[in-house]
Amino acid sequence: MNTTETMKSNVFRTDTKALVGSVILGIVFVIACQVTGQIDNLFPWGKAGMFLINGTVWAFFTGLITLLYKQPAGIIAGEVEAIISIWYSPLWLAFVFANAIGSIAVSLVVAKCSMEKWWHHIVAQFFVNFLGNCIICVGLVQIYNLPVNVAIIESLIIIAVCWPFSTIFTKLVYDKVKKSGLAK
Amino acid sequence: MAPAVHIQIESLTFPPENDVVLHDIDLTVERGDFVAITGPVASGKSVLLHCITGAIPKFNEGKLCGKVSVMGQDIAEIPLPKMSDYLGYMMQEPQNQVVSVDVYEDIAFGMGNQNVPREEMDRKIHELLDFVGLSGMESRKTEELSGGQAQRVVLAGVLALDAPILILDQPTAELDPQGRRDLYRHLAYLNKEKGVTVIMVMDRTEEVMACANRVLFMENGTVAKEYAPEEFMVLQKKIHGSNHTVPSRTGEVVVQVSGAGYTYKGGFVGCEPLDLTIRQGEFVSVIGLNGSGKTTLMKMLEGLLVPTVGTVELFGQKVTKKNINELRKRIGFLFQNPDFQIFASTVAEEVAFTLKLRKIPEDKIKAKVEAALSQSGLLPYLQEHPQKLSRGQRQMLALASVLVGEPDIIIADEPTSGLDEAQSYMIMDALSDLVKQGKTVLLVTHDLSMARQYAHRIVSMHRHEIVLDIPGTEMMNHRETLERIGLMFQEGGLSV
Amino acid sequence: MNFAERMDPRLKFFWCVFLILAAFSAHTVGMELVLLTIILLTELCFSKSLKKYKVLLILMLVVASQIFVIQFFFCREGHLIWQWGIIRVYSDFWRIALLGTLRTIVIAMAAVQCLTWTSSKQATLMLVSWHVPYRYAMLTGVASRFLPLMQKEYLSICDSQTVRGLPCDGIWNKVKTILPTFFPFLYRAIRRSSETALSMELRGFGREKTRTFTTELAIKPWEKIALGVVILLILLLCAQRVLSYFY
Repeated sequence: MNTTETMKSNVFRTDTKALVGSVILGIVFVIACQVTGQIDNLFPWGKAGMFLINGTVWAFFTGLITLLYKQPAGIIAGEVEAIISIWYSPLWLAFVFANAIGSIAVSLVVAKCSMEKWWHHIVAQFFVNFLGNCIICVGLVQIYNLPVNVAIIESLIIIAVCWPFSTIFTKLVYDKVKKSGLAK
Repeated sequence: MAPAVHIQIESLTFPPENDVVLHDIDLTVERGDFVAITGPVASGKSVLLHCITGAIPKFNEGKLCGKVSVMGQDIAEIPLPKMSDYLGYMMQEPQNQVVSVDVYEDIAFGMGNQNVPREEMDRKIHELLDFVGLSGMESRKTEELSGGQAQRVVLAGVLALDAPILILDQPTAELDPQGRRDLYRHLAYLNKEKGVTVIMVMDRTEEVMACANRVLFMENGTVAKEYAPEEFMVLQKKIHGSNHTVPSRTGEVVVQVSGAGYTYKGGFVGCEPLDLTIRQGEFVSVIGLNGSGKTTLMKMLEGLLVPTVGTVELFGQKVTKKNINELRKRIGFLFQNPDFQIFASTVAEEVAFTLKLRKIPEDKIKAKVEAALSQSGLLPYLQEHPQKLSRGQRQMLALASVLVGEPDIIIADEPTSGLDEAQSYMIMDALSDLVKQGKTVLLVTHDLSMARQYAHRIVSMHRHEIVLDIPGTEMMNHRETLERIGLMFQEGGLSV
Repeated sequence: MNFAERMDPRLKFFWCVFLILAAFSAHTVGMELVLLTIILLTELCFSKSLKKYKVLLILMLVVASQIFVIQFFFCREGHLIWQWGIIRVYSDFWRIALLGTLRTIVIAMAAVQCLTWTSSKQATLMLVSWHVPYRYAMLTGVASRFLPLMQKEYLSICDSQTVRGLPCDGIWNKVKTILPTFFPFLYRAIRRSSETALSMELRGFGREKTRTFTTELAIKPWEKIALGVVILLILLLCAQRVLSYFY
């Protein structure tokens, strides 16, 4: 296989297992976001509209599903999460874009890196958190009508907290799932 | 005429692992055969079925040296979605195979993929619904179906493909006696009357033997022996015998349910007020069909539901929110599906979890974990990832996680569901050993034969009430009641 | 099946898009209230009940409280009405907070309306009519099928871990339960997706480029007209947004 083909096979996968996996893991994604959103609401930061545990879980699932099932599964899982979240988050519209862009960002890193080293995950999760939260920031301003400076500060705090945690979780869980032999 | 299936496998491995999963298999299945496959845990039964369907190596990558032909065609040349012209495949968990929102759509799924015209599709769906006894349920939501109904929907969907071969992997392992009886009746009809070839990994010997004409015994990845069904039945009786009850030495009352009942929100009755006393050293089996109230009773005992009337006492203490965590340390819960609890990366870590929650020192944990794993036969897998174990082994792992806590009572909720008979006996023998040690076992099951063979007492539930509470030895004296509540059937004896 | 559920899914989809765009274009509380009234009236006309919005009510109260608190402290529009140390409250905080809350409600309700009016079967057929390959379009049905099943399963996993002794009371314990409950759920989901995909392929999923569906979309003449009107309104809203940048 030449370099272009290798990159393609790292990024794309359209078999039924990947498609169905994207939907089913998309449901796990949405339930995880729902549960962690509720937990965040119990903490002071959640009451101020900053969903730190939820943000970590969001970035983690965006990364993990794309790593496991590649594209378009990553985008499909993200859209499943965004559509179902209509029932529990008014920011669902921002998720439609944030989830897709986050997943594409992971794929771009996967195209160049083997995802075996920590720094590969650090880079991938930076893009997921940064791009995703940029879109959420726009959502906060456009939908909630929040002041721009408040939205930016909230997003920066979320990125600062979620990036390291989501990196650690993604790397550890991805390795664990690979070790389990359930997903190749 | 070419045989239905011809398998010649020199070896099968799953790189990067070097273990040979299947080897030296040369097997011919003639058209119209009903082949039952049996064998110990991880002997390669399901893997063999996957080789016949083409799932290995096309769906699950593996290195297969050999050739598999179906109806004279080498399956290496047939794309997986086109295998539906040759065979239909059913697995043990019906809920994973139902992919549509309503019954009609799910049966139509395969035909739609085959581009069958809409009118013909509609006619066939109604015929199949009639055949599997689900007429009038075409618009029923699939999420509302019971396990037995869902498996019948899967069967109808598979039959809609008009394939000459049926491949079944423990298709009734999760069904209650009624569901099992219905499915086997349909399979026998299809095999005898329509000439459909059936190859199945066996779950319940008695029922399968009534239909099968060949029994293959697999061991260490190969077909070790072939039996005639009658010969196999004799052998099974010799191995497992008919009564495994250990002598009862009962002590103090450990479970006392006094007029406890539960009504769910919206007025749905989970359990009518019940009275039940269980003493230390007893092996009590609670039996009943799906929806009879067994699960609600168990949830009250586990402290997950607070009775809306009456009380539940464990070890002489009324169960409350305050003391339930302390009481749970003396109880071990073994669930129907081990996958609901397994989360660690190694077998050892999984078993150690309960002890870590109790803040037991590391050195003690190691010794206890090894003892529990040794007791459940999993010591060689100490550092293995739990998800790499077979379903039976994962259930044994769940049992080891219970044993490590040294509980006084073990509450086992359908622990043999999803397992074949050999695996079920393994679990039941382990529970029986605990009773020998003076522990109490409360087994919830719809497998009447297991209950009769192991339990001192049988408590039968029907429509949310206890209708029988009898010694295990007297079960056959209450045949009429058990038949009335659908746990026994006239034509086939126990749990057919 | 009520009248709204029988309507062509494309019409319902574009109606939802129109309401969301209109919510963004509305710059006054009054305009947002008009949109909210339209949603409620259409709902009452077509499905005769507002029950489905009950679940959104608590969510909206939480979101509204967050928006009001943030605007109270950080809004800088209008004139200063109160100051205590660094905390300054401006007169327009309540108007902006109310506008944000109403916009959020309109967007959420428009989406819920579309989602509840459109079955997964209709969504699949709509995507197929837009030339999305059926292997992708049919995933909407798979999602609808497995969502309730997996929600129940997650609760069972939580129960299993609770009775094993995992403490769930208190905020920090809730955080600690995330890993022991989500790992089994994740593993099981991966196992399930593999089994489901195999079952689908062995029933011929993906064998041909096209497939026969049990029903097909048939748009009625009045629906065509309504669709045309809604698309025209969407175009007008887009044009107004674009022009507002220049003038």
